[in-house]
Amino acid sequence: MIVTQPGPLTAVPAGGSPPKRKTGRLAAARRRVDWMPYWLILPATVSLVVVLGYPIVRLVELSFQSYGLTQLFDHTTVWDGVTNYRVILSSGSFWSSVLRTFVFTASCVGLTMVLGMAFAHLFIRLGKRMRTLLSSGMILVWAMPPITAVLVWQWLFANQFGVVDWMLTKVGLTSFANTDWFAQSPFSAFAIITLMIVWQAVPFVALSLYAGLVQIPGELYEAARVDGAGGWRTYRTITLPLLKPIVLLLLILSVIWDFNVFTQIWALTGGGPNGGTQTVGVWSYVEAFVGQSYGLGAAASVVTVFIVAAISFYYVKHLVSTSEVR
Amino acid sequence: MKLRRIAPLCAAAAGVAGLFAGTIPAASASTSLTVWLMTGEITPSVYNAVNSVFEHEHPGVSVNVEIQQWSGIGTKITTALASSSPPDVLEIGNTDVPEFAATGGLVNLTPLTSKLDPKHNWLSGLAVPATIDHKIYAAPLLAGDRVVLYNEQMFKTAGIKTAPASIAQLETDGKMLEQKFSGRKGFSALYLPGQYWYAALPMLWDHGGNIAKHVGGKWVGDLSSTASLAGLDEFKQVQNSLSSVASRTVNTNLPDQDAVFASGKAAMIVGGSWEVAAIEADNKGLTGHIGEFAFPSYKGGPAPVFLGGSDIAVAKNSPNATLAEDWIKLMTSNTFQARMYKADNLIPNNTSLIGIGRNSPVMKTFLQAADHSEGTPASPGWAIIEGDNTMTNLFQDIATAGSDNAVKAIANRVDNHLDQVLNEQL
Repeated sequence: MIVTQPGPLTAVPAGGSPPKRKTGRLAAARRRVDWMPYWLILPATVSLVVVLGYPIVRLVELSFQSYGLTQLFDHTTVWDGVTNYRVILSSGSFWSSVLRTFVFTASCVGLTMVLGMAFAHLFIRLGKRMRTLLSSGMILVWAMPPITAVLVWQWLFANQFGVVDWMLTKVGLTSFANTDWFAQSPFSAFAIITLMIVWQAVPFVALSLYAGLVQIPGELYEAARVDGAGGWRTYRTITLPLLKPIVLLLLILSVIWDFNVFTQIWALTGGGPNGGTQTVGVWSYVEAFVGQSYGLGAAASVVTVFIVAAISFYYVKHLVSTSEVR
Repeated sequence: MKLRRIAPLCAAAAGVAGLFAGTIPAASASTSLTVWLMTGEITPSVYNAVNSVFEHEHPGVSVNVEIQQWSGIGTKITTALASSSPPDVLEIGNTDVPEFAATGGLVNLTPLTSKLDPKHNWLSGLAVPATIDHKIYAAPLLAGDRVVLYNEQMFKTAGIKTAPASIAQLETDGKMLEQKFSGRKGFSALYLPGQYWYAALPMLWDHGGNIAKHVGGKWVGDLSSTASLAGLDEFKQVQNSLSSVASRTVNTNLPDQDAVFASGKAAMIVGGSWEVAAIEADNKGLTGHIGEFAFPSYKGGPAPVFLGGSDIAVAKNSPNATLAEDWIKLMTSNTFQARMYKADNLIPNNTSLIGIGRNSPVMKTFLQAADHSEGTPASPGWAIIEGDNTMTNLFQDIATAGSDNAVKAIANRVDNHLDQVLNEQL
C-alpha cells in the first residue's frame, strides 16, 4: 500500500524524447552517467522492497484483519476494520505494559550511556595493553548470543546452587539464602534483566564513544587548560558538544533496541511474576503467537512502531540538524 | 502466500506429466504417504513393521516417515497444516490437538473410529483432548506418565518398609525422612517444584476437582469449586511440608530435579520412566535402587494421573486422506501397540493392553498408574493457557500463598482467565 515505486521516477528522463541538439560521445557519456546511480541503487532497492517492503505491507494489511489459525488453514480473508486497534488501545494490560516498557527502556538506556561514557574515558587513560585486554573482553560480551547469555544469567541468579546465592550466603547475608530473584517481585526480576541488558549494551556504546573521543583534537583541551577551565567545565564545553552526534545516534539506537527487548525477558521470566515483567514486546508475542491472533499481533506491532517513532522523532530531528551544521 | 500460488501450477504440471505417462496403471507408483513422528519415541523397528504391512496392503504406495524435533514443533505443525502439501499423517502432543482440530486443520476421524481397534477403552488422558463436540479429530497413539520415584536406600535408613499408599502415609513417611536426613542442607523428602503442574494436577482430580468444565456449550473455570479447592489446598500442604522452601518458585529444569534426586538432596521425586536412566547416569550408585509407586490418593490407592503423550491425526489438506486413515488404523491397532510397548517402553493407547505389562519390571508401576488418567480441557484455547504460563504460575502462586484464603483468591483469579481464554475462537 505504501510501497514507493522507484521505477517510474528513473524511467521518465530516459523515456522522454532526448534533445537532438548535441550528438556525439560527450552527450552519450552524460546520458550514461545519469543512469549510473540508479543502476547502482537498484539491487539495494529491489532487495529492500522484497525483504522489508512486502512484509511491512502485509503486516499493515493483517492488522486490519481477523486472522487466526482458522483463516490460516482455510486461506480465507476476514476484514475486520479497526477492531484490532480498538482492542489494543482499550486494553488495560497493554497500557500497563507500555508504561513498564518506558520505565525499563529509560533505566536501561540511562545506565548504558553513563557506563559507556565512563568506560570510554577509561579507555583513553589506559595503557595500550590494558586497553586491548579490556576492549577484547567487551567485544566478547557484546558478541555473545542473547540466549546463551540468558542461560549464564539464569544460573548466576538461580535460587538453589546459583553463584549469587552462594556468594551472599558466604559473606553472611543468610537472610537472602535461596531468594528467587525472578519470582520475588517484578522489581527484582526487572533489576536482573536490566543488569543483563546493560551488560551486553555497554561494549558497543563504550567503543563507539571511545572512537569519538580520540577524534577530538588535543589542542582544544590544551587551550582550555591555559584558560583555566577545570575538568567538568572542559567536559561540558568541549567533549560533550563534539561528541553530540555520536551520543544522539547511540541514544536513538539504544532506545529502539531496549524498547524492543524480547528474547531476554521471555527466556528469563516469561513475563512473570504475574505479568510483572510483561513489556510491549512480550505482550504482542503472547497475543500473536501464544494466542494465535496474528491480526491483533500485527496491529500491536504497528502501534509499537508509532510509539518508538514518536520517541525517536525528537532525536532524529536533532541528529539531522547537528550533522548539517558540521 | 507464495507456496499457495505455485502449488496449482505444480499440480497442473503433474497432471500434464500424468497424461503423457498414461501407461502407468491407476493408483500410480509414485504415491507416497508422508508421516511425521516425534523424535525419541516410536523407533524404526516398530514403524518399519507398520510400513511393510501397509505397503503390502497398498501396492504402489510408499510410506515416508519423517522424524521431527520437539523444539519449535508448534510453529512447524501450524505452517505445515496451512500449506497445500502438508504431511498426510502427524503425531501431535495430546494437549495441542484441540487447537488444531477446532480451527479446521485436521480431518474429522469420527467415521473412522468404528474401524479402529481399541476405541472403547482408550486412555482418557489421550482421547479427551482429541474429542471436540463429540467429534474425534485424532486417535490416541502413545502415552507417558509420572509416578513417584524413590531412593530405596534412604527409605531403608529411615525405616520405611512399604511404599506409602495414601497421602496421609506419604506425609508421615516424609516426616520420618526429613528427621533422618535433616543434616543435609536443602533436603526434601519429596522434591516437588512449585511450577510442576503435571505433578500437582493428580491431587486436584483426586478430590473430584477440575481445571474447567464444559457446561451448556461453554467452558467454565472450575478451580474455585469446593472439590477443586480441596485438591489445591492438599497440593499446598504436601508441597510446603515435604519439599524445600527454595523449590516453591521453580520448575523441574532449574535445577534439574533428576540431579537433585541423584545428589541425595531428595528421597522422592515425581518423574517419568525416562528419568530413571538420567538419574542412574548421574549417580551410578543408585542403579537398580530406584523404587517406584503411583502417586497416592487421599482415599488410598493411586490418584488419577496426568498423561503426557501423543495422538495421531490426518492433515485436512492431505490429498491422501484415505490412505492416511489406513496407516493410522494399523499404527493404533492392538498388534502394533503391543509391539511399540515392548520395543520402546511406551505406554500403549488403551487400558486393555495395559495388562500385558503387569510383570514388566521397568514399566509395571507406570502402566498401572496410566489405568486411571485425566485430560486437560478439550478447548482450542488450552494452547494459550499452556503458552502464557497460566498453569505454572497457578501452582507456584499456591505453593507460595500465605493461607487457604489466598489460595481461594488465586483460584478465582485463574478461573476468570480460564472463562475468557477457553471460550475464545481462534
